[in-house]
Amino acid sequence: MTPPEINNLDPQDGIPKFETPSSINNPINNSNNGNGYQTVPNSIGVLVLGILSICFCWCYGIVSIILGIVALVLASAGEKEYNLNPARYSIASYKNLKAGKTCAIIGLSLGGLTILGFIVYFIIVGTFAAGILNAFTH
Amino acid sequence: METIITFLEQHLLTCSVKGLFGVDCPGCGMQRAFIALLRGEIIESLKLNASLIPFIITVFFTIGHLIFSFSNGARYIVILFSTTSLILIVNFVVKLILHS
Repeated sequence: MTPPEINNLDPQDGIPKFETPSSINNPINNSNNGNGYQTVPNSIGVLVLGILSICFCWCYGIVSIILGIVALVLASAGEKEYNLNPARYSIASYKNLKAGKTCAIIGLSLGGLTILGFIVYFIIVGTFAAGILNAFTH
Repeated sequence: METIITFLEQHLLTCSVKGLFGVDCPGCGMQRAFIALLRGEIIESLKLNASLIPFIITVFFTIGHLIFSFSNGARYIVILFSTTSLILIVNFVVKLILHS
């Protein structure tokens, strides 16, 4: 009966292989997205929220801003988790997280532009209304 | 199919921005474009809102990527997403210039 730790043994001298900083940073180590690698937490959620933030960029911009901020917060939490132990998570899900973060930033800026446009619109309308009121009172 | 189209035509949601300000928003015309797309009138759909078709492609590509995880899929999602938002803004500006 073979012990389950047999995979962790070094093939050359049989010494159990421990994760050293060099092996953690080795990209070959985690380029395989097969079994054994976890997905980065929040990666799918960040991607979906980032895509959704463009759907709602015209609802006064506020929904898009909320979704974008939530996606960015989730993305930063996931990135922190990934940086603690990069060898544990698959590289594909980390790319998903990065893509979701980019989408969230684009959606957030679109929402910000929309809300800026509305503020400018309100200022213009407010100035007109104030002018008309002044004309009536004086 | 025809019943779905007539149901959608009778239950169009009014854009809150257009109702309040009277100005088109970037997403205005998407429901009409979707109905035109259901009818198969692609050029009419592009005229009403050009960003609907890239948006649908983006959403379906994202769903496919989450299920099958394509290689380099995340980068393509970013490219598709930026293209969609670019088309959205350009379409909005062109519509504003043409209608005023």
